Amino acid sequence: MEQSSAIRARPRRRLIRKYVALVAALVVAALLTSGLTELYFSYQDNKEALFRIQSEKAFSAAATIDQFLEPLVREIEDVARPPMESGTRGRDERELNYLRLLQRATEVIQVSYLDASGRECLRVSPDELTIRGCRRDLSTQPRFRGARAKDTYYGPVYFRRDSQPHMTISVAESGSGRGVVAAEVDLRYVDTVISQTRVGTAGYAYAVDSRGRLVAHPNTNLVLTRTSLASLPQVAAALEGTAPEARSVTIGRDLDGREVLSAFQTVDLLDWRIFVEEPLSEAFAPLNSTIKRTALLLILFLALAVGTSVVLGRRMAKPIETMQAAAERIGAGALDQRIDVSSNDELGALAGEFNRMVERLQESHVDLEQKVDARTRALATALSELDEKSRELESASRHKSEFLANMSHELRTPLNAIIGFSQVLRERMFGDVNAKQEEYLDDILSSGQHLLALINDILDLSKVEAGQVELDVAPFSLREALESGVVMVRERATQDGVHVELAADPEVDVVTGDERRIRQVVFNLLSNAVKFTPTGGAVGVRTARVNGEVRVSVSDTGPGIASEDRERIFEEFQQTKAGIEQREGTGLGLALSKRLVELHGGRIWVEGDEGHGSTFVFTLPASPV
Amino acid sequence: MNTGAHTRMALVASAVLAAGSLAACSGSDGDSSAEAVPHVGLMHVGKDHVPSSLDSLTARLEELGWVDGESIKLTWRNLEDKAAAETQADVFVRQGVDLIVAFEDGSIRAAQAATAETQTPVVFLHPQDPVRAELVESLASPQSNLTGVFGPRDLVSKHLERYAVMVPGIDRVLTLVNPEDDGTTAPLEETRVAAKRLGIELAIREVSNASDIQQVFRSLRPGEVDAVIILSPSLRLYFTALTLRLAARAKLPVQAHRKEWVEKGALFSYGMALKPLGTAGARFVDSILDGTPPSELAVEELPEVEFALNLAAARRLGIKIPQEMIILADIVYR
Repeated sequence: MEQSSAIRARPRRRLIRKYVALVAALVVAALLTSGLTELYFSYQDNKEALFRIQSEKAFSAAATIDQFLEPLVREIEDVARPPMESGTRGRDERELNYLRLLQRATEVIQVSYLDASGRECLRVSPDELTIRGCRRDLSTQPRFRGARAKDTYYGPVYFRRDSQPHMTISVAESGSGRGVVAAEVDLRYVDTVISQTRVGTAGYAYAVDSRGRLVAHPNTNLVLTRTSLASLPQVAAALEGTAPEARSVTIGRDLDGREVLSAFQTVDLLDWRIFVEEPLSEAFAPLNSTIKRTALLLILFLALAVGTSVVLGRRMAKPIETMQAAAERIGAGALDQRIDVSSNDELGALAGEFNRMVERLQESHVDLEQKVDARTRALATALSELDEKSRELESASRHKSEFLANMSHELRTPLNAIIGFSQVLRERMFGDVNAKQEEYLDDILSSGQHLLALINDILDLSKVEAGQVELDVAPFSLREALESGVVMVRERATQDGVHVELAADPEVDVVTGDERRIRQVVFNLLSNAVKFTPTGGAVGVRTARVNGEVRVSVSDTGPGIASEDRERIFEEFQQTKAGIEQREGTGLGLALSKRLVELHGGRIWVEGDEGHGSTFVFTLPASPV
Repeated sequence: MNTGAHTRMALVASAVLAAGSLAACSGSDGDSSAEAVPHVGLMHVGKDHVPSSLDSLTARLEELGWVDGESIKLTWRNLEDKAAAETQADVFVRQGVDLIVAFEDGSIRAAQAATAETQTPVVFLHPQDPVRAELVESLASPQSNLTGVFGPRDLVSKHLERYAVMVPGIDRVLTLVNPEDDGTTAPLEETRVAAKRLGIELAIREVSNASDIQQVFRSLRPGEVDAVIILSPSLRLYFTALTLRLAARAKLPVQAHRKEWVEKGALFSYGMALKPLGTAGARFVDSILDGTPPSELAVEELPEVEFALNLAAARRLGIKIPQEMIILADIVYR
């Protein structure tokens, strides 16, 4: 019953699960596709936007620095021309020009004039006495050589009083003299531009020179300690020229090894690189938020989808469940049951078809019941008649058995007298007999004994059939019973030249049954075996325990039994061809043995092919009868 | 902001200082409603003027979002002397101000002493030399609760140089020094070197009060000196006006340390431009209030100088200023 319920319940759960899984899978697939697509494009847009912002910041910073430097250089170039007049007046004119330069370009903190041989002939600054007269030889210095070689020279960044970044810009004078104007420029503005260039909250900018050394950074200490960033991958790539220029962004690393989004731009005048960087964690923080939001929405919609699919699944499964329940009741015999599904769809149509089918089934059932009733009545009449016949047969059989028993008794009495008197005469107790008489006496004795055996067998058989045989069941030694049987036939066997062998399994000894009847069966089988075994043959008796039952087999090397005779020989008065030719036996021994074995709950059969001997086997149940 | 406004601000500031001191002594900060916004104390020694860096500082602070009375509370104190500065600095510390902005050396030293224990951040504006004055360990890394901005140090050699260009035939310059002033030694030595190079003789006179100065001017023989320089900071702080009056009477040009004195009769001033310093100082205030420790803010040095010229004074003295000097001047009073 429980198994039946389980079988009935399983499909219902599966159906709903299928609905839920299907709807949920559809919704999740749709949401995932949509969410992932949105995330992908959001990521791309975000990345593009970040790249654009950083590139533009780098570009803007570089452009600002360029815009700062270009007019400054032009200012210096303006004063880098020989004075109109020579001598003292010319020197005064140059000094005045330099003073004006200091006034106009406050970033210039000192201007020097180096003559064509590289000697410093004039130095003007806002805070020191003006130096006039050519004294210091600066001809070997880069500020002189560089300007002479390339017209304009930009020196490395240096720090006055370890604080403010400065640079020397020197310009070769035009004209024949080719003196050089060297201006010391305060780069604080560059520092400010870099410091104020920020991306997000943690983004920053910095500038490195052509060798990767920091020239501006929000952390002034890094600049003052002459930190080189040439080892950073993005800086190395930019300096080597392998990184694409401008408006391209790479993933680099900062000094702490964190990944940063990095863009750079070259300041053409100085060959500096301006980098604008932002930690990846911050740069992609909005994207992470989008991912979280999408995941949250996904979970939300998934829950909604599961809920909806459960409701839908139940609504769809309910008519099916109704049909199933009705089918169960109909299956249990309630053919008047109908399915109440009113939906106007395939399920409603199915329910209608089902109801019509049940109606036809009910009609068939009624018809069948009527037929069964008629047949049952006929059968009852037949049974009654059969019963009557059976009782009559039983009575006839009983009368037959009683008759046979009585007749046997009545026949045995005179037969015993015939046998007894024949024996007495044969033993010459009443005088001598001649050879002919002796021969006839032997015939009488032999025929009498045969008749007596026949009568005894008939008597036994009739008793069995009449149910008058009651087994005297008790444990007994099967081995002893078998030995006894062997002893009883050994004399005859010896006379006939037949070897009899007993091979009893030592494991099989005490069995439960009617010892006398079992001995009778054993003797019967042994005597048959000896009887039909030709001279020089052998008879073997074996016991074994097979599948819990005791098996006794008696085999011989006789003519064997044809397959068509194997069943027949266990019937009354049936004999094999050899038996008939032998003119021995009553044809009742095997029938009686069969009855006796079956009374014990065992079986008896014969094995072996014709011409190759035969083996009679009977079994006794292991358990007591 | 004009000079009149500065004067009014100074008067109001004095009154507020007195009230503030009393309030501090009674254990009250005087304005509990302003607790939510940062409180910044600003102080300066020298009641004869208000540094022009104050206006540029507050203006820049406003640009940065720190509006006085709204997002920040600024308490300005212009003080009489060193003692008043020390007292005020203590008051600020006891009031628990978030930051002190100290203008010039006098107030900076007072703020440094008062905050030695509490390490209240101090932003200094235009000290002479923050490293030499031991306000910070180095410009790049202050390692202190003080940081700030300063301009070119006292350009005494340039003063002499400008005299040499503007006053033809200048030979001797009356140099007023106060031997009791610690800030005298270095500029005096520099002035001596410059004078030697320029071929100018210094008539050095040691004075420490008004009567000393009056005595010096009374003792001057006509033509004995061609110009006047007030060298010691203490003399500039307290006796510039007196010196100007006495020099005018003696028909001598005076070099002043601020353009405000040029406006009042000095021939010229040449020194640090204060407005850019105030603007730059606002960035320090902003950064510190935003949480950056002062020790991490490198001291900034601004190179801008300001050259102010008074052509009216030159005319009165009969000095013909070369045209190129007039062109070079940032401010010309006519």
